[in-house]
Amino acid sequence: MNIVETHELTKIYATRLKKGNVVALDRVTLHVEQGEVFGLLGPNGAGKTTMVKTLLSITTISSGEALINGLSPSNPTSREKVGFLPESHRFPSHLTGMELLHFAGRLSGMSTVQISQRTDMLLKLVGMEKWGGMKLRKYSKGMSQRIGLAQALVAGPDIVFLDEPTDGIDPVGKMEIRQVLKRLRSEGKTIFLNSHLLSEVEAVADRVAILLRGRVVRTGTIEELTVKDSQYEIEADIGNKTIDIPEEMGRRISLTSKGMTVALNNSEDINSIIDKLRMQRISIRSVKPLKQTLEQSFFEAVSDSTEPEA
Amino acid sequence: MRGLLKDTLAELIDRKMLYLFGGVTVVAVLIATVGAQIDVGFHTGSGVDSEADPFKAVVGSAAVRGLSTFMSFMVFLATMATAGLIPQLLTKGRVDFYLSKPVSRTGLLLGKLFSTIIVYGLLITLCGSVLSLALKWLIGGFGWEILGVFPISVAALCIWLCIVFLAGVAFKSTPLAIMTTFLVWIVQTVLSGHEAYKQLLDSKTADIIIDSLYYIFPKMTGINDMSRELALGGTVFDWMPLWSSLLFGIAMIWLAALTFRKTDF
Repeated sequence: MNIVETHELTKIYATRLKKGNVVALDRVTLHVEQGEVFGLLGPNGAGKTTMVKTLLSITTISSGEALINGLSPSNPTSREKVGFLPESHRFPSHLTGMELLHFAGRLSGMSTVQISQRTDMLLKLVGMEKWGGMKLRKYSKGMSQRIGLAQALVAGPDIVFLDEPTDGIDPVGKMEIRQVLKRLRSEGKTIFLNSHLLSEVEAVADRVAILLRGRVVRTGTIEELTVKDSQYEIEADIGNKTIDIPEEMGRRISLTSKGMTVALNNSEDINSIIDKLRMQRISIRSVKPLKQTLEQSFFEAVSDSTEPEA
Repeated sequence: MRGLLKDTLAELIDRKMLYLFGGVTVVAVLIATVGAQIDVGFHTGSGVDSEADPFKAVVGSAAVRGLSTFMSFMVFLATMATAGLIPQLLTKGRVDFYLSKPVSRTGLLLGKLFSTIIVYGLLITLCGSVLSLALKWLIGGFGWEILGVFPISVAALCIWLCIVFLAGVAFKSTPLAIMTTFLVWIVQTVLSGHEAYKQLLDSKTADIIIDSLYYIFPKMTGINDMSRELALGGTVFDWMPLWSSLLFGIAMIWLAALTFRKTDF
């Protein structure tokens, strides 16, 4: 079941002085399934924050459609089971951490009893149980992020939008937040993670979309995005034998005595390559699709979409 | 609503507004005390019975006028103190927090308005009550009609807050919100002498323009006069300044809600 759906979602910011409009989101169509960790990747200014803001009705939609829990974002009910940690947040600094959780709970329509039942657990979850009584203005960046995450979870949301959640956090803090995210996933929560930190998304996300200049240029599971199409790594005792690959089948990328890498025109041709090796009595230890890191895949997507059109 | 009320109260305490309002009240009580001493000295010398003393009534009337002026000043202070509330709420990173909650924008704005009215209305009423009790004890010479000052002052605060909220939503800037409020105050003060201008200009078109502006803009000077009249135990025959100003306030907050609903953050 889709908890978030967008269809041809477009956001155009009209600039002042009539110098032209800025297209922040350009016909974005995507969906997020219940219980998955969805990563929205993109360089700065790609439209990631605008995407979340349109889904939460912080920014209006120019055209297209967006649905959260089957409801339009303009309907406040759509945000009843939604948590949000904004990027560069500035929570009311006159409140303490505990008061912020109570305030967030109140705004979410919770009763004092319901809020009290959750606050201690949430402060413990984000490692802030000792600092709940301290004013927010005295918090460090890392502490603010943690309390921000706690306030996003106070209403027991089905989906949590996190915009650059580990921004400004030290490596230990990042790891702790990652563990919180994994715990939330194990509890069946849906997480919409906005980040330009690829390794962070790769570590926790089930599915990813790459946004560039307001357009989704690639989408899929981490596996789908990191596997190179029809490229295989073959581990085999080739020794000094010569392996020729017919041109119509593809090409050989590399060849060593311990194996080779091939790029095929058709992935089914891998069977012919295996047959060819076996005919030469070469012992095959493994055949696996060639994988790249999410970072490589991201840069590939970025360079593909920035190449000038012919 | 309860959450916003608590937040507004916490913000008021954090911004040390209690010290400001408390300090002004203490100064007003001290002035009243000094004034009462002079008055008592005069009376002791004259040896006149205070209960039947017509002079005492004059002093009491002055005390009521003093309280009325004090309340107008408190409304002014409260308006200035709240001018930054909306621009602060709308800052990037903070507004996202509010808008991501299941509350409509209109609900959020009205919730903030009502909680500000309650918190600051109670605060100015409390300060006014302290001063009126002090005046009653120190000077006397007036009845409980003086309580009429308080609801009228809170109504005046409502009207100013509506203007401040609209300016805050439209400009997202505290200085501009303050300047807009001052501008409205200057215009309404100028318009309070509308009858005199009409006689001076002696033109039908000018009459229409001046009258239209007078009826559109809030009539805070007229409201102050009303509150003084009520406090002195008099009768107010024309409530138009109050209800037309409240209508102006409603129009302002409606415009503020409309602007807020259409703004991208």
